[in-house]
Amino acid sequence: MLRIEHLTKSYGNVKAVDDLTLHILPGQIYGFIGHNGAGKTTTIKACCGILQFEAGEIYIDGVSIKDDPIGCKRKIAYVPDNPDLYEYMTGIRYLNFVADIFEVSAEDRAERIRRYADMFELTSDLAQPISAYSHGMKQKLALIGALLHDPKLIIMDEPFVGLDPKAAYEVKQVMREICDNGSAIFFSTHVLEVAEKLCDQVAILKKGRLIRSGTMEEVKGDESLEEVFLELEDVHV
Amino acid sequence: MFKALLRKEMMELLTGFSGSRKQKRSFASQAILMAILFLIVFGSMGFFMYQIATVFAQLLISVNQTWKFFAIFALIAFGWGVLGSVSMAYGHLFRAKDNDTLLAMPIPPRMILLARMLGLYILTLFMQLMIMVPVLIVAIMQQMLSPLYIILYVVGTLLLPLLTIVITCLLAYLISLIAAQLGDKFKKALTVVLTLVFVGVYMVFYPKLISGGIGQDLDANALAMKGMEYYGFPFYALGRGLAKEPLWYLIYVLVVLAAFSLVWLIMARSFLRITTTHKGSKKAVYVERKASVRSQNKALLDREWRHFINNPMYILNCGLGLFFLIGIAVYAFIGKDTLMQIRNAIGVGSLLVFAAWAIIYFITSTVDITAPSISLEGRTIWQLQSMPIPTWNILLAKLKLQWYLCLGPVIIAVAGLSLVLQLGVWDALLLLALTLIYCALQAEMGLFFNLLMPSMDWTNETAVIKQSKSVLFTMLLSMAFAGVVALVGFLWAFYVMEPIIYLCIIGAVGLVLNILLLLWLRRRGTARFESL
Repeated sequence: MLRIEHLTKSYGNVKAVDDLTLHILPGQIYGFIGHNGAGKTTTIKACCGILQFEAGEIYIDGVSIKDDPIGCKRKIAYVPDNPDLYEYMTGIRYLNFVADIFEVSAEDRAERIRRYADMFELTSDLAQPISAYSHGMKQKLALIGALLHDPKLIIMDEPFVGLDPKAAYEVKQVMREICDNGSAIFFSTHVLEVAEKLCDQVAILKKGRLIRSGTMEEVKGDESLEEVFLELEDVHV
Repeated sequence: MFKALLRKEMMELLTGFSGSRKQKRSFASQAILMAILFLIVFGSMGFFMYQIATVFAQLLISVNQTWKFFAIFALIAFGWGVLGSVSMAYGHLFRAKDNDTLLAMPIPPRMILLARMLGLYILTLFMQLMIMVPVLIVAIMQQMLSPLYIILYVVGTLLLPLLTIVITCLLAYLISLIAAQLGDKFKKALTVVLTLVFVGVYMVFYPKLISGGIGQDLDANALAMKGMEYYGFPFYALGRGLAKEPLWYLIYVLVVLAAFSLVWLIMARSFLRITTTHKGSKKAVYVERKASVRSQNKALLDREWRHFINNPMYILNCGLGLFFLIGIAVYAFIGKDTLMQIRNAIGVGSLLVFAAWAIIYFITSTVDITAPSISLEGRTIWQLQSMPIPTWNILLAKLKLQWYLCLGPVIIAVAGLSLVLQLGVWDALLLLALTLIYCALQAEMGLFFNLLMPSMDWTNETAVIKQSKSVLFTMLLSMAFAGVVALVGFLWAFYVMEPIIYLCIIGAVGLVLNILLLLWLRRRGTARFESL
């Protein structure tokens, strides 16, 4: 579903991502772990087509994001780490805007908005302006917006930040359900317990380079993911 | 501590001007670009003011009333500054996004307020210098000022913005007090209405005061100057002071400093309450309704519209000309006699069309909705960039908003002027066509400048709406263009060719510029947007 081949992205002389290769298959939840500034957000933004890169290739469902960015974006949903949404819109207007852009039919959008807004307990706030939302509510709204067009691939940057425990639980359930239906999820996180419980595969990034990847068992063996992560932090790249 | 606050204020101002940190342009090329643009803007505005000031100076020196010269231009600069800062004062003073951060620090609120007022001061000074510098040059050339009085003129000019922000801050204070009572729901509409009322009153009385002061009608002259003495007392005092009456100058300095200090202290007393009071509004109840499915393009246009109408600063700073366009149509009927005098002086035909076009174009040059529209995406730009939309459609939606919003007021203005000036059908159609060509160009120019000089790292929308280079240059370059076209027409073109030919040349130039800018936006502009 998502194939990253030898991705390299530099900011000036600093390589934010260095020769990264990852394959994410349909039905997989793929966790992306790394310290602050490791290059996770850069990779994610490049995958979403909002950051140009100088070397490598990114394929969404077999199509290069460089060759057909619009086609690729139709299949993707992106949830950033900081949900900066249009504060001049109400929640429902925002969702309808997203649905219009992704050409979601009236029936589908009504059903999905009802379902996910109820799930995240946001229904009663949908008529409120987004400027009145808390960080967590914005995060939930961004998630609902991401799910509206039934994407094949969801890319999320720290999706659990700002969510209350119930919403975090619901998000995990939805993630699993989406992947069970054949879509894939690629997300970054600092919460190693979540990654350990939720992910089918993980990749650990350090200073822009991939230092370990594979299934959870392959990566951590008999240790906890936290122990492995901390050990790898000491490895010189 | 105050220095740190002031530094932050200056950094915000500079961020607005210097654009996004992501822009890879070198410091040298930025500086050269800035210098060229400032030269064009200041040069054209300065030239325009220089011409007017020279006429006024000669007239007033001949009747031995040099004080009026300084008083009138101080009043003009004051009004120019008020128009420039009135719409942003409320947001800048009371609704900055770093309110919580600063109020949580051990800083007296009055210092936060003072730093913000000084931020307004810098902006206002910048605008007023466009008038006061050419006036100073004229005053020196006409030998109206000795070296000592040149220094006093400079000090007087530096004090003038304080007087301007006294007025704009009082208006902002009034808005904040009423908004605190009515709640957030009415705040936006209130800001727009009160500012429009203020500007309306200013537009009605101000020209009368100035034109009365130099007119031939002695009664009107005396009445206007009496009005200046009472209602424009500080300008009267400055005028007298610079006409070698030092006591008046001292009074001017004291009045300005006292007024500023008083307003600052009054506002400081309730600054904390105003900035931390959020009356809010009743929670809207969500009722599920069948959504109307729109095309991508309609959804994008609707998004631009919602952004525009939900921000009073945006409406007042970038859309004020729309109200002026309707206002000029109303004025055409109220001030029919004046317009008929102009008609009789110019005569019917293409020259009259040209004059009407110049008036309307000058007004439409204040409509620059597209100029901050890229910067206003700010941190939300990830949404458009990650959505499956051709970038050109995003830019086109921004252009369309300005085009569509201008269409109605332009037709009203053209119809009003055409009816009162009794233009023929073909002349009226020519006027409409010319106006629409330049309206379209104005929108494209705004977008062009904003793509060249985006500022995405702002913390306050007011900063990009009001202070960014793209807004400034779009508006002032258009005004300058209108001025240059008028000057070329009246000083040269109308002597060597038929006015209709000159009008056709203006139209053709406008069309070519439209095509060139649209091509640039479609090719280079889209690439720039994607790289933001």
